[in-house]
Amino acid sequence: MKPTFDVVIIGAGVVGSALARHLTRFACSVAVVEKESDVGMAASARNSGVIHAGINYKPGTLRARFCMEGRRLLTQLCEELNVPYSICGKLVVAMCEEEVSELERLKAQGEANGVPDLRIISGVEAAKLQPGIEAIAALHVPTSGIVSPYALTLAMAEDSAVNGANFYLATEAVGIEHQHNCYAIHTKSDTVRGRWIINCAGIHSGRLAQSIDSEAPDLYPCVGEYLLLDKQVGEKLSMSIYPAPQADGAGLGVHITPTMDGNVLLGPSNEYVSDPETRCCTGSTANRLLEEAKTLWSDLPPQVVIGAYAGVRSKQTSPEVGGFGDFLFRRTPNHPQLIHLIGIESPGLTAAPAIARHIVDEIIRNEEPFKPKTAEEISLRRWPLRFDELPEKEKERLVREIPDHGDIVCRCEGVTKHEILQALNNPLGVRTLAGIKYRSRAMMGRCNGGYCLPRIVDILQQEYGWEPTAFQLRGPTSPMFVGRLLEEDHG
Amino acid sequence: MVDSTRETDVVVIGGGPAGLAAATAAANEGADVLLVDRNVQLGGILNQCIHDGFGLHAFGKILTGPEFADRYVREALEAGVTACTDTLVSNLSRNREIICTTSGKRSRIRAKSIVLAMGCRERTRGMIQIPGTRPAGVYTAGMAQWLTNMANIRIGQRVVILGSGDIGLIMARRLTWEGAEVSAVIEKLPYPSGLARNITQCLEDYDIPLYLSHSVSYIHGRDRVEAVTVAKVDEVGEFIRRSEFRIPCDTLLLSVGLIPENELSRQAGIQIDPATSGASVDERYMTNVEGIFSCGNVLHIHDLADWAAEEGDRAGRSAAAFALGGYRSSNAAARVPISAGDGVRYVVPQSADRSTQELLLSFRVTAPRDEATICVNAGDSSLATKKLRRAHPASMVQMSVATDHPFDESGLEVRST
Repeated sequence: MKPTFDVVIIGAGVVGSALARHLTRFACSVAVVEKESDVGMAASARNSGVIHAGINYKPGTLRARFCMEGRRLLTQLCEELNVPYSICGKLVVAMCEEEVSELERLKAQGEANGVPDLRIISGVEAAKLQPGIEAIAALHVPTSGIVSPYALTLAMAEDSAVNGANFYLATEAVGIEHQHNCYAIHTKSDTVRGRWIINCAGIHSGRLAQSIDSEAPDLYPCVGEYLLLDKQVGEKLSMSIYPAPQADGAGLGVHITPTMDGNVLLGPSNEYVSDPETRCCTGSTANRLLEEAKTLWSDLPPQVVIGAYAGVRSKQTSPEVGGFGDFLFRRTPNHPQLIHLIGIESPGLTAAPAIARHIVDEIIRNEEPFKPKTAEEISLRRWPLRFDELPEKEKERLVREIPDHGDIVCRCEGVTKHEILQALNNPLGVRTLAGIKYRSRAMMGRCNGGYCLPRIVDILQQEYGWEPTAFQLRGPTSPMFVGRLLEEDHG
Repeated sequence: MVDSTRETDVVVIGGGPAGLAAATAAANEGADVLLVDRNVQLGGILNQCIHDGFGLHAFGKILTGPEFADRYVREALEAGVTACTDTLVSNLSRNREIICTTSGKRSRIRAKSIVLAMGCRERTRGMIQIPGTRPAGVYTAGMAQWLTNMANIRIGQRVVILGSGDIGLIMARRLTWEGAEVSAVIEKLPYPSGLARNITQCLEDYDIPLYLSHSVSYIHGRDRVEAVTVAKVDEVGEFIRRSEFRIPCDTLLLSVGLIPENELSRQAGIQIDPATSGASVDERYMTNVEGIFSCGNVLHIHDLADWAAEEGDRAGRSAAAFALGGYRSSNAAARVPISAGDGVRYVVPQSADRSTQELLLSFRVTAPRDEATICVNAGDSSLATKKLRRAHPASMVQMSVATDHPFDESGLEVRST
């Protein structure tokens, strides 16, 4: 039987990973239970990757508070973990007079939250900041930024794994039960026990909370589809472009965002669905995203889509109500050591580090004297530098030192064989192709793996002796291949 | 071990049929030629094309892809070409310097002229945005061909192929031979994209149904493909409601087109023709960047490797002349545009020197038709005409134009009526 952990985290999204990362700075035992075969596989990887400035939230709400605290902690964390981010700013554009008054309202709200340097500028000035904008006015938000959401989640999770967090991947929690002195988390295959439980199971957090707390609220899955554009477009976009907020919109409207990898995202759409596991993209939405984006940014070139994906928002507001609910940190008198984090939708990514600090420092450590680890007890795992982004001289030096850096496996993203092997040998023990993809960026470029997948298959067969059946896209249920055509001749 | 910048006459980037032919031709003209290829083995995609049908034009013989490649590799080596394999060109600059990278070494090479022969890549699911889930089991046809023929891997048991490009057709037959059930080939257009001989030999001979004017409207299966929904499409490519039917399958292959791989060309500031997605070249295959030439599938998509090789041969000779000093550059004022008129999708080359006396035009028509007349006009006069019993977008057409007079200032236009 597994030990009873001090703290068990359910869900290894950005919130769960931030919690694990912060908890491993203290002398306590931590486990993370995750349904998927890798961390950050749901909403945490499927969002706009924006570091929000804090203009979109009513003053006094948890969303406003944790966004403002989170953005400061997030950039610190990125520096510490070597996760790339950029405070590139954003423009919220008004296409008509009514929308200008919306900008005024956003500006006042942002200022009340403490967002600095907000300015309403003319359409001409906006077009100087970002050519191709044809608006009558814009709100310039210089403190808004971008971060790779999956790199951040993976970096936090891998750092916490190196520092003692136990990850149970492909382990789906189905219910929580109060037992003597602890809680049992029943999974499909196993039971994991903890004295403290933090439920951050994203879209499933409401349903999971209800297994022990019948008053916990339902969540409504709301899909957001994105289109991923070629890096050619990324060269032309220096900051995010958002539309003025629409009344009762369940999202922030279709926006155009540069990514840290040099691509551009269009989206998200906004559609309530019944299946919380929805990952589907629809053709009609794709066309609509392109049309809406074109009205925001006339420089958007045609035929530059290289991919599409969909993420699910965890909404507390039903389709009839629309809009946003506030974050819910639910802790009942009956179960004071059971904390449910429910409805962590936008700005969940920005807020995650602050939510983690709050839960650990202001709730758990209030009652548990976990000793902080000393600097010597912590082994910081930094996110690897990307070879492709190094200066030429440095590349030449590194290739002499590590020959595998000379072997470029993924042409679109300039990923070397050394980086592929580094990604494969990750501390979470994830051995899927998606795991290699999100860690190295191989297969993520414009050819969708057309060039590098054969090379990766070669490397894994030849150097690691993988059989065809060992190749999985996302886990055991997504096999890539059936087997061999002919038995290998070993004679 | 070369760490300082090395110099040579001609660098050819890419060792497929076009690059091999270009390197051989340049070496035969007396140039020092370095052929750089990212694969361990020269020959490019030909190595995975184990079916026959190659070489009829070039050698008057029917060969398999590897046999065809082998002839060109031997010719290149005999001509004195230096081959640098397992090496990727990561940078190309306007002043004809490249950075090459291989295990343990990055090096710079400066050339007097460069031939681009990087070939093409396949269009992907991401580009055509097929609705549905994102499971394992969706492959491009060329990837499936590599996995099958080069890696001895069985990719699936029940296969649907979207797109009737030649690689998809070849793979329909190949996977059938390997015991897979190929349930259907689905083509969005009202006519097939691949060669007629492949429709007969790869589909009809094996009773594989071809659904024209249909497309995949949905991919099912969270983790691995479980089925596709197929529906009819109208003239503008929109799905027709209530025409859907579902085909259970574990694998979906995409054979939905090829894109010239011009990332390096863009780095060097080479102009790309939106109609071909390849460089704009003149009658000697030189791009807008002095001394950089382009040929084969990186210039425009060919339907036969033989023609890619012939084009490589011509570009290689131009590049050698440029490197060795026998090249008279034409000034901008002396060049006239060559444009695609009615019924023609594109023409290569895109411009020519007015004093050109012999010119080879390669082009495609926009739609299939019987009894087409192709006209090459210069201003009001007709330079050449050709009658085709059948014109089809899947078949590249080539036409030679010979003239004693300088071309009209307005340039040339190719039309199909």
